[in-house]
Amino acid sequence: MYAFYILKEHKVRYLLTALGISLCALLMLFLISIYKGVSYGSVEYVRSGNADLWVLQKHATNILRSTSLLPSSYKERLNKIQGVESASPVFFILASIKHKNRNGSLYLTGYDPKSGIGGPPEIIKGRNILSDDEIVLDKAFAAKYEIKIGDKIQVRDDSLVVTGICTGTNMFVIQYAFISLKMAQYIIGYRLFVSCYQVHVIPGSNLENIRSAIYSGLKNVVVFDKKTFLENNLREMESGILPLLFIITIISAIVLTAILSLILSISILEKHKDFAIMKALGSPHGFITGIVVRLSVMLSFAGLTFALVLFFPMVSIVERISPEVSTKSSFSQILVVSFGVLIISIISTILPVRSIRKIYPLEIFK
Amino acid sequence: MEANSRYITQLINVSKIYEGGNGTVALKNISFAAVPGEMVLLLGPSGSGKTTFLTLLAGMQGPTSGEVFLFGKQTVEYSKQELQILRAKRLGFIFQSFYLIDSLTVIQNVMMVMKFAGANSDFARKRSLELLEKFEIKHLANSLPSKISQGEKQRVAIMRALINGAELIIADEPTGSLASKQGLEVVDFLKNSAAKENRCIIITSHDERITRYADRVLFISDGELK
Repeated sequence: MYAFYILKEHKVRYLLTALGISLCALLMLFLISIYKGVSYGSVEYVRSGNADLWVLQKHATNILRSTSLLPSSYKERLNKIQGVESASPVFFILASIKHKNRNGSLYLTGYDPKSGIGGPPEIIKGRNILSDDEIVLDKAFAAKYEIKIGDKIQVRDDSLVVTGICTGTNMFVIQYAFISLKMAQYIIGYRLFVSCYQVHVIPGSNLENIRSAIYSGLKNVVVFDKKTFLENNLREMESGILPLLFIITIISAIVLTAILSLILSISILEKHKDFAIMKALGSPHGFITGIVVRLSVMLSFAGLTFALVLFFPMVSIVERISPEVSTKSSFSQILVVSFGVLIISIISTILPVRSIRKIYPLEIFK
Repeated sequence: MEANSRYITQLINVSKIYEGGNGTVALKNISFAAVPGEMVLLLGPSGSGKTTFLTLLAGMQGPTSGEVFLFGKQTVEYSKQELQILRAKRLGFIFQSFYLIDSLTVIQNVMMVMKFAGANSDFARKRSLELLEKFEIKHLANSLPSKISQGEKQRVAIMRALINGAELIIADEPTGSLASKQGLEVVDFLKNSAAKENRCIIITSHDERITRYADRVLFISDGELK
C-alpha cells in the first residue's frame, strides 16, 4: 500500500524509471529474438533437410565455417552402399552478386533441382529452380536489395533469374541462395567436386552399419548423423554470435540493476523520516524491506508492460528498416525476460535494503 | 530504589553520557518509577535531558550506567524483535511534530500501526473508523495529513498511539505545535485516558500550565531530576 503511494507521489520520476527499465527489457527481448532468428536461419537448412547422414571431407564439422571438398564420383559409390536410398551432392560457395549497381554476397547452395534434396527449406513466394539459369533468394536478402521474382541478378559473369523467395535461410551476416549444382560447379570452376553429400537411407536400415560402410568405401571423409551435424552447426553459429549477445545482455542487466538500485536508494533517502517513524511505532522486521521490494517489483512490472507493448511494433520497424535483421519471438522468450527482470528487481533491492538497517527509531526524537 | 514489577517503567540510578565530542552528560544518576493509571509530567527547558529520559524508558537506547525496567524486565534484556512488539502493542508515542506519514491518508496512518500489531486489514479499518468517529474526525478519514489542521493532526496522532491499547503512552512535547486551548484539551484527554483506561502517561513539556492535569510533576534540569 505504502509503496503504491510512494509511486503516486513522484509520478514523473517513476514513469521515467519504468521507461528506463522497459528499454533494458526491450534490449534483452530484442537480443534473444535476434539470437533465435539467427539460430533458426543458420541451421534450418540442416534441420529441414531430413538427411539421415551427412558426408563431408575429413576434419570438416559443419557447413557454416568449414571447407569441404569431395569428388563428384562419390555419388555413385555412395548409392551402391547397401541400405543407402539416395546420396545427393550439394555445393556451397560464397559468391558476390550484383543487382542494379549494388553489390552483395550470398552463400550459394548448389543442388540437384530434379531430386529437390538440398534445396530451400521453405519457399514463401514463387517456385523452386528448374534450370541452371535460375536462383531462389532469401526473403531478407531480396528485401534488402529490392529484388522481385522475375528480376535478373548477376552472379560473377552469369545472369540468373529469380524464381522464388525462401525463409529459414538468413544467417544475419549472410544469406543462403539456391542454384543448380551444375551452375555452382560452373561458377567456381571445379566441375569434379562438391561440398558434401546428403544421404537418405532405406527405412529400417542400420545407420551405424551404413556409416561403417561409407568409412570403408570412401577415403578422406567424415560422416555425421543428422542430430550431431545439427549440433555442430548450431555450436558453430553460437560461437560466433552468442558471446556478443551475452555481453550486451549482461550489460543491460547491470544497467537495469543500477537504475533500480539508484532510484530505490533515492526513495529511501527521501522517506528516511517516514521509515524512522515506522520503526519507532513498531513496524515488524521486514515491513520496510517489503515496501522497497514491492516498489522495485511494481516499477519492474510497469517497465515490462511498456516493453511488451513496444516490442512487436519495434521489431516490425527494425525488420522494415534493416531486412537482414531476422528475429524470432515466442511466448517462452517473453517469460524468460520477464522472469529475468523480476529477479533483477529483487537483486536491485539488496544495497538499498542494507541502508534501511541504518535508520534508527531514535532519530525522530532528535 | 529497588526493581519492582508493579511499575510499568522504572529507572534506577540511570546516567546517560553521549560519546563523541565533549562526552555530553544527558542524565545524571536518575531514579524514577511510574504505575498504571497515573499521568506524570516532566517539565524542563530545552536541552535538560527530557527526550533522553523518554527514549531510555521506551528502550530506544540503553543507559551508560544504571538499570531501566520496562514492563518488569530490563530494557537491555529485550531482543530487537521483542522491543518491536512492545512498541507496536504496549507502547504509544505522541510527538510534538505529530509525525504522521504524509503520503498516507488519516485512516491509513491509523490502520498502519494496527497492522504492525498484527491486525488484519478489515478489522483495522473497522476499528479505525470507530475511533475516528469517537474523535469526531471521521469525515477526514480519507484526507492527507497536509490537508488537515494542526489540532486535527494531533488528534490523529493520539488515536494512533491509543488504538492498540498501549499501556504506556510517551508524549514528547505534545502541546508544542498547538494553540494553547487545543493543547490543554489534548492534555485533558490524555489525563482521562490514564484514569479511565488505566494507562500510564508520561509527558515532557516546558509548558507549566499543564501541571494541574498531572498526578505527578517532575522537574529536570541539566540531566538531574529535582
